[in-house]
Amino acid sequence: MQNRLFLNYLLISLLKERSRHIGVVLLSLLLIFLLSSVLFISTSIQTTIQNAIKSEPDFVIQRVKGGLMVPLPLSWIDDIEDIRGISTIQPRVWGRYTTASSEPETMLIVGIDPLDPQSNRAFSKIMNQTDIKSFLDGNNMIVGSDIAKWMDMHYAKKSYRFLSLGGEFISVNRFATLPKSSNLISGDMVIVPLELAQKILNYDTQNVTDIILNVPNHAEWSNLKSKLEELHYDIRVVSKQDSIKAYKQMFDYKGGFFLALFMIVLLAFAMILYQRYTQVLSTEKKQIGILRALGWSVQDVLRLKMYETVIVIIFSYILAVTLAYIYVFIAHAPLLQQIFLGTDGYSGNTEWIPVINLPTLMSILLLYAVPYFSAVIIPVWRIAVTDPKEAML
Amino acid sequence: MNIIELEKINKEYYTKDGSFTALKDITFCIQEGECVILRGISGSGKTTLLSILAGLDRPTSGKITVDGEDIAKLPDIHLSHFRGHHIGMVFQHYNLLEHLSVTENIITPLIPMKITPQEAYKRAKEKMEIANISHKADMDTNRLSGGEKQRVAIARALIADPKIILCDEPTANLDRANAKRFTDIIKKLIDIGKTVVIATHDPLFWESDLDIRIIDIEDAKIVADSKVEV
Amino acid sequence: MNTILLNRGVIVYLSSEIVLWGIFAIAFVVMISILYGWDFDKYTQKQYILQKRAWLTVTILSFVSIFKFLLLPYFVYTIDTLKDIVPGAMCAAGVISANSYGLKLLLLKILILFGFTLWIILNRYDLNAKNYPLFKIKSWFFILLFVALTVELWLDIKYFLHIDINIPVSCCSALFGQLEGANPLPFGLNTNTMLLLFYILYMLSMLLLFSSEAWLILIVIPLFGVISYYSVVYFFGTYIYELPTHKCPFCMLQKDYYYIGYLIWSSLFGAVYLSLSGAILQLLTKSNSKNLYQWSMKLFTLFVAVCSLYIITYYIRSGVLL
Ligand SMILES: Nc1ncnc2c1ncn2[C@@H]1O[C@H](COP(=O)(O)OP(=O)(O)OP(=O)(O)O)[C@@H](O)[C@H]1O
Ligand SMILES: [Mg+2]
Repeated sequence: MQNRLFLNYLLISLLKERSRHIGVVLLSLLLIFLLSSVLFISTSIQTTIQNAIKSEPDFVIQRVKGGLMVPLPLSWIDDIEDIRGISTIQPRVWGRYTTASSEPETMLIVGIDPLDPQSNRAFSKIMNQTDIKSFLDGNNMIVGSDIAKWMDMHYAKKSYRFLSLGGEFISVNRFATLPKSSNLISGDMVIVPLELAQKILNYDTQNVTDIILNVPNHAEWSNLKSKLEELHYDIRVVSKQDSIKAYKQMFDYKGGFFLALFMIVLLAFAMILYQRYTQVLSTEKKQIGILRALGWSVQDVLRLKMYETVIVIIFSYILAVTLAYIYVFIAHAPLLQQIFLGTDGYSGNTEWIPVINLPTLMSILLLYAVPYFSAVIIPVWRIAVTDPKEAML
Repeated sequence: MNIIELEKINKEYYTKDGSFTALKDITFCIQEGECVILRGISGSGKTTLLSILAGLDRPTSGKITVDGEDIAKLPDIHLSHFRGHHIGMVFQHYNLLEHLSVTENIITPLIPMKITPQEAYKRAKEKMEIANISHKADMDTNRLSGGEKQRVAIARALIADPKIILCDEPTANLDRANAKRFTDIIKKLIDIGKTVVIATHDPLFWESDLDIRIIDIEDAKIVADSKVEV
Repeated sequence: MNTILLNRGVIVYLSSEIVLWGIFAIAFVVMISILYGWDFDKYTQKQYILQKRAWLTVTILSFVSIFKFLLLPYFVYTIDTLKDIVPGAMCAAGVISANSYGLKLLLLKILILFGFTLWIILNRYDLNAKNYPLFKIKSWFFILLFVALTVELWLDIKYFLHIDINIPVSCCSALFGQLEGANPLPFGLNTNTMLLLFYILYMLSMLLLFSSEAWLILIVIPLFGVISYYSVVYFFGTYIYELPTHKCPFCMLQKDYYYIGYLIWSSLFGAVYLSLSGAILQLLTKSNSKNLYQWSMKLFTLFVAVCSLYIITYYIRSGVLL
């Protein structure tokens, strides 16, 4: 820092003449608050989705006939095993099951082999908390929170009788309930052992829904994909990267649109700033002339005015970002939530995971400070080169 | 020793309807410790000359040396540094910064000089003693009387221990009693070795017992100098 | 429309670049008018007005340079996030090589930041002298900087417009890995001789900076810079990644490695910038640049210390070297 007398002077004149800055600060607060709220929400959603995708397997192998997904034979696993570089291969059985009642409830039946290492990282966490031996001992299931609620209401507190797609009744015990907080696993999920899932969904014992693969060396991904695609004519390979890309693009699209609109607001803001600074600073001409006459150089005045600007910027920035943080992550962004998400796919009380990272903060700062400085630099210069002779007039 | 030397100083103002000569071939020297009165009617060019001496304005041509430094063409950083360290200014309208207190006003010239606050406040105290304004040290400036304001201005002019004090019409806005007190302070300053230049047409100065040299200015030119008889 | 252009980082980056260029263009026009009319020996009103205008160019340049220094890491970070969209890319290395503009852009950016550092240092000297001794040099240099900034902006736009998200790019292991026994190191060095050279050049640089040998600094420091670059990519980096085959200047900028790359590269570049600027100033003005040299010595030492510490801690933890 330059020196304490200088800072002292800077702070005294800022405080004594705070009424001059209030307009600009309020406008800045509004602007940064809006910007940061939107960016916080979108970063948070993006992170949630990315985390969800990250716990997905690297590749999913499906079989398609006439554009529809059909069960595939377990023998495909043998073909795949020959390819180098794959760490886990696992068949999966899963599908939708709709209850036969006046208000049908749809659940997602997921069959897993608890003895195998779980390629889905979220599942391995669940399995680590489960007593596998007793889980496999008989027809047991682990249900998601929504389904648990539904079953409680439909007198299935202990067990539930599924009517399999093949037409026979299967009674399954409720073994455990998934915690509600696990955002990454949907509430309508029912986890059962693999064979049971095959029964409920009426699969042949040699058939599975799809096969998942993990490939630790990411550099091999594109290479491997083409190899897999050559195996069967009706194979479909979905890579995790494709879904990440799709999501990212979707979010870039939404966010980019918002930012493009925001640019126009920023332009207006810069113009207001330019006018306001020109106006305010012209009233300071005499005062600056006196300082210049007393031995302040152009550089000293420039520094004074620039520091003043920096303080106003940093003050508004920190205050607005803090307010936006409270608004989004503590108050759950009333109003903005509906505007931002619409109604598609998200229920009313979405909780944002607080994600705050340097690049987001930096983006906000750049979007705010660059136009700010650009707008005020010429008025500030103009006042700084005031002739010291001004003091004599 | 000459502390101020002017050689053929010209100053022209350029206005819409042509140029206007405010100073013409001004040449004189001032010795260290002298008290010089620039005398002349309104519009004769006193303020203009003072501004050039103080480095507030630049001559259109000529050479001006103050305390060994040729200041006519000095770049801004150095000229400002020069003003801060060598010149103490007392303005006609005092020119205090209204939003600051008396002490804060007095230390403003020290701010660009990177001095510690302790040192600055110590000096401010000293100078307030000289200017007889210690009792108002923490007052807001806009509540001071005219005479008090001027004494603050004097303390401020002294704060950086400049060798030269320049005053523009110092008594124009004062009553007689305050004007008399001002000449007393000037006497003190001369006693401690300052060089003082005062632009005025107040007869108080040449009627007082001050040991002065009078330079008469008329129509942008020096017409009389009580030291060098013209 | 190219979807890259809708990425948040890209939008913020590009719009900042455009605004900064615009404000710099104003300074450029002002600078031209100053250069055209400048005559320090004249007493004219015009000359004093030009001197005031010169302050505008200084102010704008300082402002622009501060944000340019912030924008380089922001640019690298943004590129790094694009790895999710650009197929095949694992880090910024792949994305930057997505087309032929990327690498040129990055190099130009590094050069421009050097230009800013040098200009600011020359300007400080010039303002502290009493007769603007470097005025012509710094003004022409200013104009050169504007040209560089214009080219940079053009490259910025070209680069982002031409990233094709459907064409896979190489990842860093392909870009920096040894291809069929070809030696990637310059001057036919191998790892051991390169390391030896690295530490020798470090000592030599310290010595030269300490004794203010401007000409030798101009020769040795760029050499040390180049050797440092290769040493970090092909040797120290492998200890940061703890994988002997992982060679990449960009991955170390990622969170997985605690963003250490930002410290490493900024200390290296900062040291090179300051020492070269100091040497140029010393040669131009015969003044001494001790202060600048001292700063660059500190930064070089920080750089070498951080690199060496990675080796030492790895050795202490595992008892072997990679
Ligand atoms: N910026 C300017 N542009 C044009 N003319 C000016 C300017 N400043 C001063 N003048 C003219 O120069 C002449 C000298 O002015 P100056 O202020 O030096 O007079 P003065 O002797 O101080 O008068 P007073 O006793 O009224 O203060 C005046 O005629 C004035 O109109
Ligand atoms: Mg006057």
